[in-house]
Amino acid sequence: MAELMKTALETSTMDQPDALIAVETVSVRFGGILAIDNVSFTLAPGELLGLIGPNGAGKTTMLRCITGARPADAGRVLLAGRDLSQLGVAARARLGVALTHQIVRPFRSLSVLDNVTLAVGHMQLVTPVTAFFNAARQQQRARALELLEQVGIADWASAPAGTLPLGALKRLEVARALAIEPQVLLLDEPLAGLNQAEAARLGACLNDLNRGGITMILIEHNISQVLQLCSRLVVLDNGRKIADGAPRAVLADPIVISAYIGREVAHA
Amino acid sequence: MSSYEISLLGLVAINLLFASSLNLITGFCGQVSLGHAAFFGAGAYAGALLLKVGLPIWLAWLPAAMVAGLFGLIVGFASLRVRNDFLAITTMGVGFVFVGFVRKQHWLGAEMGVSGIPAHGLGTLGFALLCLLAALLAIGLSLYTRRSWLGFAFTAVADDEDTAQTIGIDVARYKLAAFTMGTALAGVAGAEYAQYTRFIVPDAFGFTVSISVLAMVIIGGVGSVWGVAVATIILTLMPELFRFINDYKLLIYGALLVGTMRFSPGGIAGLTERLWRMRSGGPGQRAPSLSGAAGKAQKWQNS
Repeated sequence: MAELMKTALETSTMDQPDALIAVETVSVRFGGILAIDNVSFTLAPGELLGLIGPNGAGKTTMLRCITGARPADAGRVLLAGRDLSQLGVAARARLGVALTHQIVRPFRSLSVLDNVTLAVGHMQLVTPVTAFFNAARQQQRARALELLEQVGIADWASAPAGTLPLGALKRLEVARALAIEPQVLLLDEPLAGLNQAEAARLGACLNDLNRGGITMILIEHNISQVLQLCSRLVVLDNGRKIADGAPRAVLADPIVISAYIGREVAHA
Repeated sequence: MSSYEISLLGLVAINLLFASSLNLITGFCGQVSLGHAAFFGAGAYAGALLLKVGLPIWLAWLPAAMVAGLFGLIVGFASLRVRNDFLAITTMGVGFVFVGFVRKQHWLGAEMGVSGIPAHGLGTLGFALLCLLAALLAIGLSLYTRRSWLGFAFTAVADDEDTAQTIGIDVARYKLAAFTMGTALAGVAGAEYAQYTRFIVPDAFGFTVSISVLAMVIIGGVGSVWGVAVATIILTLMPELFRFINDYKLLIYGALLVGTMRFSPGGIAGLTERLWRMRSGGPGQRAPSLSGAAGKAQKWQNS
């Protein structure tokens, strides 16, 4: 962490040197389609940023750019001032970029507890050699159990992850992401597919985590949840950033409204 | 025990090591290999050449492991970008390339292979016990790996590579580690095989051998250390003890593979676990002796 902050001081080239994440003029191309078109935004420490936009706007691609799953074709992403361009997904995760998937992806052959234990022990796993010479798991198990309690699925700890209902799996995704002690947590539609009660519970859980100091980017379609949770919104449409600011002001912006409703209105 | 039976013990021990080595790659780390005989062959040729210059078998182990392990590392690097069916086809290709290459190398005896490998002087029993020791060490290594963070990470890589990356696991490194460990052990088994038969030809390391060893892993239960050991013992002894089976060896192996896939994808380990659960009543019970295998077998059943 100290090393990261030092690097941040040395290499910071941004307008906002305090930014935890800085997305700088990022473009991503899929064949002939420009999925992300010259998008820039920053994320301050402790912020809960909502990334919204119509289907196909490029929100998930944007998160994949930050995690490194789909590196940017142009532009760059910085974490505390450090350029992540040359780093793969695993290296970025070890620096503290955590992701929860839109479609849940637990390790189905492991128990719920082991899913989280493995992530807690990610520093044992830096190289296969260190992993080979370490066998003790008690400490990591204890921490994993705390995390399961924090997201409210400790009762499922010993169940095989594949047998959980969707609501619990969504929370498992969050617990596993928290286990790598993230600097920033990227949440790709964590509430999608949940019923109202489940969504409210997980929303409250995310709110608590954010108040506890965890910085987040949230992709979400449920606007009432977005308004409750997010302190700022960035809106993407057809790969371009069309708005960035306080939630209510952004949602009242005619450009944003027309992006959601349709092109004709935009040109009217 | 007759000399023939002791000699069979040696063959079982060699196959135990060979099958355990593939289980590390395919069972633990989920990387299907249809060309494992190539690494067995690389170790056998390295071992044969060293044995011919007078090295005792236990000194030939290490160089054979290094040759096969290095070969495995290179194949691993070349295979990093391919997954699942594509990896299976790639490794199958490696198997064919190996046999095709060796056949044309005069310094390796070309089609005639390497003959005149000197006797080990350990006696049939001594050699069998030495091979058994190596097999037990490999089984011990597998059991330890399963308990370590390395085995934990292998399970994650086998389960979902992309998700493993998101929690900081460098998947490429782990695949290479599995390939190197597994192929190095296959190399040791190969060197033992060269000493055992004292005569090797390229065809002894062909596709049929790769499939036979894969059959041992699948019928035993992919990822189960004990299941694979049991299947290896049965499949090695069956054609030797009942000669008529030897004539139909491939047919029987094939039928067993089909039967396993259809009725117990978890192999012997999965079947044992199911029976254990039925006896102890209730699906919540897990067979304690199969803790590592259980999840893997379950995964194969689900997939």
